[in-house]
Amino acid sequence: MNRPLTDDDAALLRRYRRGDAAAFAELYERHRLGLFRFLLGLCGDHALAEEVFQDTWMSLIRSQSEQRDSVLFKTWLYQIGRNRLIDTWRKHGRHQAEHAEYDEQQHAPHDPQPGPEQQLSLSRDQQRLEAALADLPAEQREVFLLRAHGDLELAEIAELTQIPTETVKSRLRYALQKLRRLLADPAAEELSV
Amino acid sequence: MNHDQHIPDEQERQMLEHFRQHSGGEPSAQLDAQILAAATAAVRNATVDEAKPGLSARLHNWLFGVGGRQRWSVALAGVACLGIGVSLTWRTFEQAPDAFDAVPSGAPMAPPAARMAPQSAPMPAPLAESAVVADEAERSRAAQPAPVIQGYSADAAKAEKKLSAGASNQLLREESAADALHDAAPAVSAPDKTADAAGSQAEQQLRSELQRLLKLRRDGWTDEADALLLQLMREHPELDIDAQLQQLQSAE
Repeated sequence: MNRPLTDDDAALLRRYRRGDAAAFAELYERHRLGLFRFLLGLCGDHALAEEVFQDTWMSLIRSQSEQRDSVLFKTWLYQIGRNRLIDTWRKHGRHQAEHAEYDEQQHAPHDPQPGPEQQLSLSRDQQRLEAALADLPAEQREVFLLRAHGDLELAEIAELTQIPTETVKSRLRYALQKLRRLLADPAAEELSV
Repeated sequence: MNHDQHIPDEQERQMLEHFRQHSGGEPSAQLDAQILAAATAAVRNATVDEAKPGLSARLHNWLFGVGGRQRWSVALAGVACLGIGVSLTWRTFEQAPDAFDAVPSGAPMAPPAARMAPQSAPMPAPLAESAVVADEAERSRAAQPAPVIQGYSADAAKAEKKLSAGASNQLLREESAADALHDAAPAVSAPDKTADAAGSQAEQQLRSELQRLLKLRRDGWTDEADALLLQLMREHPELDIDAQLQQLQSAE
């Protein structure tokens, strides 16, 4: 996913604040799928994802504030969605990190480097993708989803999640390793071994 | 161990692209429509709020728009009515404090007890006589201007200076009428100069009062006699009432 239009997001938002409804439609079209899949990947519940998704856009509509210049619109939008989801979890008494802490140092050495065959044989089964995502620790899953669906840079993810950039980098790396291992075609894996 | 620390960019890109392409889930069309409709409605409301002209703009359009001539006349009539109302209100405020606390001229605030007495049970004769005396004294007091009213007239003179020209004209007319009444008063209070019959009648009345005073003293009604004596001394300060009494007593 390229970012040629990201810098125009702020301009679209300004146009919308001045009464241009078409600007909002364009802004919505750009980010609707990424934001929704980020929320769905985090919570795993379609209905909850839709609820938080709607809340996020409605708060954007109701808010009269302009976006800060130093923050990209996308980072701002995903920050709103993430905070809304965390608020919903707190409201329903659900613990945010359901998964046990992933022992990165223990798992990392055993994640094999996939070869070209494995890359080609990655399962395209949607259920397997969802299961693999659900198998990730929450922190790694969040970083991976922001990178994959939000197309955010590591520094932007660090700013959004309030963690150091190096931590973001390591979490993303381990998430990619585990996903690759989980999604690798067993037959291809056997061949590579 | 170290070979896992740097994933090639190409592999990362492939994995991310794979997820982007094959991940499922998207918001429903109904939810899309709701959000877009809410955004459009918010813009429309904001536009309507901004497009709503202010009071001054609406007044300007009303005066200088189509049919402005009629509206100008209506506006001028409204301003005139407003001016009249303000002036009337101002005059009312100016006059109200003097009018509300003023004592009605020529009439006592409460009827005298002596006037109420004949309506009640019949009194003994001496008391009835003293009541008649008190009634007459009250009438004579009412004929003279009360001190309160004199004080009020002084206040009214001060208030006249504050009034506007139109109001002062009206007050001048009232003042001239009061002067006319004042001029007429001496003619009424000095009947002996104009009519001898009236003078003799007054002397007879004084004589009868003195006789009644002597009778009261003889009968032992000293309080009533003293009251009547004081009354006569007030009514006829120029007379020596004691000398008159002695003269009348010796004559009797």
